[in-house]
Amino acid sequence: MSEVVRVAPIPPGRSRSARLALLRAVFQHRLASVGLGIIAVLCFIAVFAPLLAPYSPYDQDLYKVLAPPSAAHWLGTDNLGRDLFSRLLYGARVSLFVGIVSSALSAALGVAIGLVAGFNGGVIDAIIMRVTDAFLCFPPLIFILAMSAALGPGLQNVMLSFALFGWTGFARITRGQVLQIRELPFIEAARAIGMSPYWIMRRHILPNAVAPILVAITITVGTAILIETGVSFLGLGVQPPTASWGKELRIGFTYLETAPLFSLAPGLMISLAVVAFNFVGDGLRDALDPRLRGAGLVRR
Amino acid sequence: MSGLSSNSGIESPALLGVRNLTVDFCTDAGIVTAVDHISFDLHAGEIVALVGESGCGKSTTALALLRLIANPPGRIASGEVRFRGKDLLQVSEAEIRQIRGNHIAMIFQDPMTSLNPVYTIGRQLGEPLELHKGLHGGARLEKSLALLESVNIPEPRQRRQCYPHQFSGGMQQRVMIAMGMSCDPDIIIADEPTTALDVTIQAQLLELLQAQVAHHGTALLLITHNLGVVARYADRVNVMYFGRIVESASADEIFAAPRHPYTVGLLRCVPRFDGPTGQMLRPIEGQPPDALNPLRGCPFHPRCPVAFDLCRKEEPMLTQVGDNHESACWLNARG
Repeated sequence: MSEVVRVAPIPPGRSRSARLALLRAVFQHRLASVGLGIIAVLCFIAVFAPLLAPYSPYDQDLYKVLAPPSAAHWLGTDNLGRDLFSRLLYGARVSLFVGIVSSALSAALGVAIGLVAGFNGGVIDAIIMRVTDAFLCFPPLIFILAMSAALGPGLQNVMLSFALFGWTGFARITRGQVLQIRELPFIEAARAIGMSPYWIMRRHILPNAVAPILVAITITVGTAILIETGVSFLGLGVQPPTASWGKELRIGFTYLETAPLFSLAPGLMISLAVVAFNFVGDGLRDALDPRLRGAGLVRR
Repeated sequence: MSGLSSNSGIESPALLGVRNLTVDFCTDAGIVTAVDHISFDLHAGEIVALVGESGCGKSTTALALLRLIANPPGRIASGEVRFRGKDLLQVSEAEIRQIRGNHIAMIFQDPMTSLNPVYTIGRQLGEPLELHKGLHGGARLEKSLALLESVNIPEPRQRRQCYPHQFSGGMQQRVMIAMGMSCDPDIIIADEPTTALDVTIQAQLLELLQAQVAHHGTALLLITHNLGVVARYADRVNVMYFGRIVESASADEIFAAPRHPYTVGLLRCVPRFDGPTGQMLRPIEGQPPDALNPLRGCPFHPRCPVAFDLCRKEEPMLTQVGDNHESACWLNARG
């Protein structure tokens, strides 16, 4: 047989597991590591809020209403004399929970629908796509507000309303990916080894479509946090006395001139969280491209 | 069809018998017949080449054998593909899936895009084994390593954890060949397996395929436009033009005594060491006819240097012109 077998060198330092490689790539991405760091801190705060908060978020001290920042109250107090810092820490729980759960719900719904549309094509595809078009005619906040109002106030209903609107984006992304990937030669090769359409879908199409979906999920977390803020700001969503950044922002808004920190601080937290999720989304997008993986190509 | 007569001359019954296979594509401009009533046989341990210029229906034929033509727009309009007593065009979807990759494997033209970029080589190599042989875990690993070794991939244990993009084109195609051979198929269809690769790699890969044919009695349908490859590896050659087989003979015959003007033209396009020195290469003038408006008569007549009246009126059929040699040309009929 041929003696001159050409051998490309095995790339050095390849990790065993693809997941490890992915994590490393995300960490190599500067913005993404910053984002991940912020998210890690926020998650830590959310989980350990009772331990970290100097006061209970519900204890009122009506003698110290709208107090300015001091050693006792780092960010001052709110209109009912509750410690603002403690309320912000507790607020992280609501915001992160809503953000992550509602984007996960939308993604689950949207990816399933998008796969069905892209893979079947034809009439099913046309119907699903017209439905998503119809959804896109609504301004998101108005739609979610209307849904939340119809379902009644409360956090679950905000998340549900968000998923009922948010799936359309995931469905479109997934469908587009499926349409593109199912024409690639390796799909034909998979058919040629006798794979069934279902398995081709699961093993070859979905994993290749996952990159933009994951990116969309992280960015949707940011959007969901913003929507929760908006809905809470407008009075639906979280009900008092539960602390949420959106709610704080709303109440603080009234006292913008006398106690600017009351609305500024939750506003900053919201921005921070949204930006962090967007950074991670960016980093993931680069990291998930297997052609860019490794070799430290993604250094931003 | 006349295609039956010559091939039945070989003693063993054909492993794969293709009869009157016709494939249509519905386009906006009308129906295009990409493959037009072609018939040929494939015997165990034989390398049969399907030769012709781009767009003559070689790849479409290959895909049609495994019913891989995308429908729509494609459609297998008629014909029969006999394999193990069954007509592959009639069996159920589940049955054809059992045959694909297991009994009839296919190797595609471009290895760079025929492997899924998100999985390691090892995992993809294991797919047909899992699908058809029910191999899992250690058994599958062992078999994959043996396969990688059999296609001369060094350090298979490390290599199987690599992703396709970390392999060179030649290595990727060797993986594809290993995948094709993994279930010990009766037939391998190789659709221009070396076209996307550089010349030094071509011989290695074709020798791998040849070794498989020699050692396992696999039949190989080699689709190519490279006459050099045909001369070196093929036992039998079917020359295709405009969706038809215009000449069919043993490889030696084709090169020594081509009978169809198209084959003669093709051979004049390639340099030969055994030809007279100083001979110029002569391309075949013109283009194949427009598939949407097929001509009357022989599809080659506008480009044929020896065409005469009859060629413009009626299309010639494949007819016996020698021992195991058929050609579709009126010149042969005239003698």
